Amino acid sequence: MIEALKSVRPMACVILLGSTLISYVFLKASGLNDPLTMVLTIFGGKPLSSPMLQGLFVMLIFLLQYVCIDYIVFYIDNSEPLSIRYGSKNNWLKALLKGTSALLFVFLVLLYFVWVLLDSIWGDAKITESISLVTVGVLARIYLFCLIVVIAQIYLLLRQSKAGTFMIMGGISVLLAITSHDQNLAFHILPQMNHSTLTFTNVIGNLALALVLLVMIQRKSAKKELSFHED
Amino acid sequence: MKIEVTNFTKTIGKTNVLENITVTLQSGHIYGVVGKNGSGKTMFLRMLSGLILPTKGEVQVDGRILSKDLSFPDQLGILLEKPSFLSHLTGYENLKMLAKIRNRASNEDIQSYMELFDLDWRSKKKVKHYSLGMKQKLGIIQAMMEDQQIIILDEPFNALDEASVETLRQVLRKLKAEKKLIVMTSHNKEDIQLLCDYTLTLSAGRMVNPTDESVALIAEG
Repeated sequence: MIEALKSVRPMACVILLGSTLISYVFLKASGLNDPLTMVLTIFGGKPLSSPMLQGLFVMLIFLLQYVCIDYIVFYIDNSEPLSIRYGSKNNWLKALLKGTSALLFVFLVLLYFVWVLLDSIWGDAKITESISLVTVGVLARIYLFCLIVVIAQIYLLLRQSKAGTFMIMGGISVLLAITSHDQNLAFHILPQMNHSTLTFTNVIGNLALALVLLVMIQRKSAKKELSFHED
Repeated sequence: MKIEVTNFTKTIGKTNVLENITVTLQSGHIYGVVGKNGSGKTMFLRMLSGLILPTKGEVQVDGRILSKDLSFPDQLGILLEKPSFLSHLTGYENLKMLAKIRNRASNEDIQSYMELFDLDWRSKKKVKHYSLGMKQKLGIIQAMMEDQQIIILDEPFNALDEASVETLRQVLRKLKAEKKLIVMTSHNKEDIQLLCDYTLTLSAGRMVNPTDESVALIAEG
């Protein structure tokens, strides 16, 4: 996990912190009061009602990719020597997924607790009240959504250049932002948490999507020896 | 250690990138793979490493078949093409990160190899500021730092200055004396003639000199 964190370039940390601060100010200005609602809203769990919120959503998805990209590209560029080091291609893939999952976890926790900290200074929040079962549930749900984003990023990077991946993921995030108002779509990828039945089907749908993407990555990485590096 | 390749053919599309290769490689020797661009040298190294699966034939490492009994040789160090590192970390940090995967090389091992190749492990210089030759040295070090028994090097002398070329030659001779199995490619005839016990010449994916157990002796070490 620490190795994965080392892969994040210092500039990404600065941008992450800056974006967190900017997002906080904008979300407060939008009338969102507590950090949990903020984090849920900004990841599309509630309708992104204004272009500003949609813009913040797209920015966060971009940021999430930016934080993970060096680690993923390092693993993909070195897939052959690293597979040898790990003993098999499967172990290489597991290590890549483990590292990116850890990065994602830190990204999400950091984002939430910076907002809690800011809210405890300028708002009404108390740090002691910021950790509850509800918080864990909401963060876990958002984590699953972000995991899908990162797995999709890995899949695209196995097939595309960095620029191509950012373009495609950018397009997807804009599409998600625009359609976020339709919370009744049972299998919408966004982390909806409204009616319990819808939430359940939404989680199952997300888990299924994550699984499908993982299988696609596994197949793509197994085929890699035939399509790359021809002498 | 012993690598035995038997009738190995690799077909991609309609092209045989390697065709009917049979060769036995043993520890304590340095093997040089030569041939024109596109002759299949890098594919040959990938074949020995288990990175490509055979269309026909097999590769055995100490009697265990690659891709059936094991994915890759356990004690393998490899440098293929341009080595890539995390650019915002130092060379030492990159090597430590790689070493942690297998936990076979201590910090002291890494430091001594870096000193050997005239890289300052205490330096705060990031890899993004490294020259091509310095990155090449890092690539060479990661292939050797864990006391690997099989060392495969694709054009290891590329981008190295004269002093580093001499250092690498000395290191390879030392590793050979330690009974390591070393396979390398080079476009420089001098490197091959000075270092290699055997030369394997490839042309259009075929081995041109399959004599005497499929290897041709050019210089007894």
